[in-house]
Amino acid sequence: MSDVAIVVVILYVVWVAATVANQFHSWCPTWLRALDIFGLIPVWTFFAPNPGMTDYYLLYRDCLLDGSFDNWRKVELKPSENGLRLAIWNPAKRKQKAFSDMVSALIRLANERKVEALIVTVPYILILNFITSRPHSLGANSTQFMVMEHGGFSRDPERSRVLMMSGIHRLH
Amino acid sequence: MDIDTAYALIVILASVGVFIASVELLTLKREFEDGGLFSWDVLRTVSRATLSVGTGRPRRIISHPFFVPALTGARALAALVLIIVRNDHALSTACVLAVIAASIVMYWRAPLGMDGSDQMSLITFVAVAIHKLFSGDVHVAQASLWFIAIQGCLSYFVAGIAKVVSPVWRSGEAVRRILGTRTYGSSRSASFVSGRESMCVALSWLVMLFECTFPLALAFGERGFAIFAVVGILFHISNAVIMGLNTFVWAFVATYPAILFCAVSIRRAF
Amino acid sequence: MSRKDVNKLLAKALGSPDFRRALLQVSEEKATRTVRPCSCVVAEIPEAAQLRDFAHITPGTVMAFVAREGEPLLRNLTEAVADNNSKAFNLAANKIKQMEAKLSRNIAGGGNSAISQRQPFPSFAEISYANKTLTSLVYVDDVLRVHRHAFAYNGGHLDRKVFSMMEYYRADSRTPLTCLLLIRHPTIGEIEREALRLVPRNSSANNIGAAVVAPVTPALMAFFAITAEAAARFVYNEFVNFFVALLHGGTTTALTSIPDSVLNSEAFQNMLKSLPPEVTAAELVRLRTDILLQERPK
Repeated sequence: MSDVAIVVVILYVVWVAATVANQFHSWCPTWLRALDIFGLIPVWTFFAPNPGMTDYYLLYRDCLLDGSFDNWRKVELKPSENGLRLAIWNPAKRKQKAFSDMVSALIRLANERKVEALIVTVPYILILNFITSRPHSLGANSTQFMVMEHGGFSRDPERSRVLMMSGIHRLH
Repeated sequence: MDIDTAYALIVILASVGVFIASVELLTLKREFEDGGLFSWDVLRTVSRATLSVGTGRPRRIISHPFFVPALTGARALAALVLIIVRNDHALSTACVLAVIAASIVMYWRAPLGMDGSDQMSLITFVAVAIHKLFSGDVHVAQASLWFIAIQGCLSYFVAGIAKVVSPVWRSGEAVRRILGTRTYGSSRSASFVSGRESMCVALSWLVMLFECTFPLALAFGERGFAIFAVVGILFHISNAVIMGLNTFVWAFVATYPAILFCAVSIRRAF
Repeated sequence: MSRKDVNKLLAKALGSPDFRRALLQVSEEKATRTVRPCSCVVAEIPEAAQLRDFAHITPGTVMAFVAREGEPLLRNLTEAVADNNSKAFNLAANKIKQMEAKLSRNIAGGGNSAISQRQPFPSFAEISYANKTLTSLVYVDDVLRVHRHAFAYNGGHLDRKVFSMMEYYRADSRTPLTCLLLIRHPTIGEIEREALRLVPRNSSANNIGAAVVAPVTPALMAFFAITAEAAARFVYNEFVNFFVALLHGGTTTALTSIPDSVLNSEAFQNMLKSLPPEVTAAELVRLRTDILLQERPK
């Protein structure tokens, strides 16, 4: 075996070991995650052990000139239902996944930090920035967003609940 | 299956997935502009490192409306070349490296919305790149195939174990509720699983059984591999149709030629 | 087109002599012309109307029709809405569309019509809601007798009394402009209905019922509510979560988010207090940038 081959094999062994270590959060040292600047150490725990079993929706409403609130308006991230077409071509999944990542990050950050610090986190600002650029009501100067958790096609009358709600933010 | 055929198949399958993913990103061009979900104005503040990159001229380049389309377009083109052109070693090596570079830059640009298929594709392409850079070395070629195969098997195994330790998976509730969401289900799948608890339990355990035993695809030569490959392909196609996970089909099935190669090697050794 | 692109396009267009001349002319005209308030009539498309009825106005729109007082088409539109007569409405709206098409053809084709377009308009108008200008430079002429403009509307409270229109007119323009504003409520989907049920229009984070929010941490802040149960569920998320990993990749490297030590510091608390009320996204980005630049790696 050549020297190159030996180095490559060692690299692969270390890589697989890092992958194994990265599978379970409590095993994985934080320095390992921090070193993974290229995103090459994968996580293979798909939908488990704690799967997301609800839908997240992003809604916003505007604060009108008289101080009252507008209706909640849903941001459409995923326009179509899954089916044959989306089995081949599904660009919307990126947006939906990105939003889900932001919500997960916010929940996690909220668990670890004081809530008032959340407004300077990237996921919060990303969502607010995104909402700011959506169409807004006539004469509205400020807005507010909400993340709602919804049980999908469940018929349970209690299938929705508010997961998080922002404060009021100026549009300009 | 010989090494060259294995690599050719891996590259074609993985490249189809990367091509689809790249063109999908092209259609999301607006989300990378100001006010989009992946606005660079905000994402550049992820850390001090991204902030230092995201100032001055680099910022103007990264936040230019053509940056992401150019990057994803280049990645799509490289993937397309890999699918069509198979005999030009220099060109295919360059394209593999281009796919890797573009994927990493996209990861830095927007570390959001990525999924397991992106991870598997990147790992596969890196292993292929290492083989291509040292193409004269048969041990490097074999090691890279083994690496792809191990990562492929590990992905199924870990996914299975993570489900086995989960009460909601063991009880079938996860299947029922995930397929009942609009994100990963549909009205059809929701009505199909509604009121069918035993079906959900059975489906759940079948998935766990398949995933946990997938590494056995290495253990029984071509026939053993074929069984797991057929079930695997059906599994991924079902996930694509029911859950919209279209790119998973290509990213994970791309590891199968490597798994077959290793299964045959193990069979021969014993 | 992104805001930046629009700005660039405008900046480039401003460089063209024709555009600059036109803009200057408009500014001059606005400064020198007499102004008069115009009548605004506000009406609503019945909520029970089907999607195919009044098809020219999509749900979730306020459509302004501007014309000279006495314009028959405007009267036809008003009467059609009052009578819930979709057919008559569509007939009138189609005629307006034909006028718009003719104007576009004239402009594209050039010639005598284009020359006549270079004459100053007898008048042009600005439509406002309360003290906010919604659109300006609304005009009508011999070709386009009725000008229409659509505004997005998502169903909230609209104070009809605060719609207004001001006309900048020349002395020889005797007949004032008038405006018909047609409101069409949006179709509210299941998710929006659920959201309204959980957080009705006039409630805020402070007064939404505990029952509709998942078990709340002691930190139910005035501006943020989060759920402890949901937080526990996401101990480690499904799928790849590079983003979360990136945010949580330890506290000692350059690739991390803002460390707890900074967030718990008095300086940070003071920065939060000094934020303007109802802080915008841009202001939060600036704050975050300041914090990152102040923080020194250990």
